[in-house]
Amino acid sequence: MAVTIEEIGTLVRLQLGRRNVSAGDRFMEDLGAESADLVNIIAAAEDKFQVSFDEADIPGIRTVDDLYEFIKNAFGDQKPF
Amino acid sequence: MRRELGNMEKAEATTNEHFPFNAVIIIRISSGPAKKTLQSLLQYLQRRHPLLGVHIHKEKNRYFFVSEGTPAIPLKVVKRQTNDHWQQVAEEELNRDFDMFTGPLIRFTYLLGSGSKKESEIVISIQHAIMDAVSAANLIHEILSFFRETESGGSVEEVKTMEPLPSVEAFFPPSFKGLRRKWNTFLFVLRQIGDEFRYRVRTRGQRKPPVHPTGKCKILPMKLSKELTTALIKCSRKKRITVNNLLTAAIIMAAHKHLYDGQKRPLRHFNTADLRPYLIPPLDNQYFGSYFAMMMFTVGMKENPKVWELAREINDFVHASLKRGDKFGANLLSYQMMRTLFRYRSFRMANTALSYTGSILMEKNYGSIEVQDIHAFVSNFVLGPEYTALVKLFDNHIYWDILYLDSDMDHEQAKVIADEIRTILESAAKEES
Repeated sequence: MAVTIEEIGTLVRLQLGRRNVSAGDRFMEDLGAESADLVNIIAAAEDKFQVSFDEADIPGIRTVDDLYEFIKNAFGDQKPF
Repeated sequence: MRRELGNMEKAEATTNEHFPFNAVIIIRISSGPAKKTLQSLLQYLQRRHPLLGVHIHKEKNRYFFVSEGTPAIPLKVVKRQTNDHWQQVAEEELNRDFDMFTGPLIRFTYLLGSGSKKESEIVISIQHAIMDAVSAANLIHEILSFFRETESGGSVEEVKTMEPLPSVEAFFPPSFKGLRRKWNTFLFVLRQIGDEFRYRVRTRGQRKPPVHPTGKCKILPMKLSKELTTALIKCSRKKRITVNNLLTAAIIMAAHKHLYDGQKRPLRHFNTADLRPYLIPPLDNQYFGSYFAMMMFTVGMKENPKVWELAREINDFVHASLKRGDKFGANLLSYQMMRTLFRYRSFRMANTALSYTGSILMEKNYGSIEVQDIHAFVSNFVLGPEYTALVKLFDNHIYWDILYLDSDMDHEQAKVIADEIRTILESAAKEES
């Protein structure tokens, strides 16, 4: 199974209750996410895509696209499905 | 450079007129660099960051950062005596104020080891007005990167000076500009007054944090195991609660049990909120400065509280408050709050305070230098909270850098509270697994 940027966008939109989200949007700067929102996004991504995020990785995931790349790479490493 | 201080900067700088208010960072390394390298580092830092080369000028009730005539960053090199020598130096530095009107507002102490591993500590003291936690993490990374560059023969001669920035208020979002700023600040003040009123009524006849005439800062570092750290992160994420709010619940519960006999009552807590990502334009972490807010809130403590329930309550409350933009209101009112505190000297800011910086982006090795530990403390004073901590995640461990005043408690009692925090967190991890 391959993850798409659209799926990540939908997940972020649902978690933040926003209508529009672009790949380049930064979670805090552009989408106004607070730390609790980020926890929700990461936890939702873990549940949906069965991946695991190391806490040290999280500061490097700043945009929707970063999240997509992280999950895509995790799939590449883990081949979960 | 000459620019007027913003509200938060003024609150931090004027605190120094009463008590020292310093951030003290300790970088513990092996294969410590030569004194000459450190001297070059200080020249580099002062050329690169405008705020590391300023003093404060006061004109009537206005305060300015002024660079002209500010001396070089002082460096004191001391022969390292024992593994714990840094703790004594850190306490001295937390209790030693800055001559704000001469500057600079930063100084270095180098505890130079002589053993085969050359274990050493760099102790950096900074007046809080020029640096927040984000800047501090960046400063550590910059220092260690400088050592690596120097070791590999890289040139650090050409220093690009960072652009001096105005105070944080210039970057506030539209909701805190012009008339909307007045209205939103007014609403924030109303909420604070309401909270203050309820707090006073509900704590009538109960123990209040005592106001002692003097008190010295004492430190108590605590490191959580890798297993506990991993379990706490995992559980917090599963519960959709930030690690910050879980740790906040733990410190409040521990203080509640040991300082307030676990009675049903409200307790007041301070945490910090980073403003940088929410400014317009957002501010890069490379810029040193004080771009944060101190957020105060009150928690109604029950008898025998449950850690996850309390963490959930704090999580939801803090999230709603941040979303409302209270962080900007808190920043704007910080100077007024400190003025009131120092005018009356009859009450203390809070019962507890915690600042969690999360995972700091740092490598374990910088060339031949290996980073052993990083610690950071902020001075407290007799009108500040009773029990405070700076907490961070580094190398898969949660580090608690706890600070208390010797007028409030002795080392034994501080240790009892710290052990209680650990027990609470261990039970939180077990409960969830």
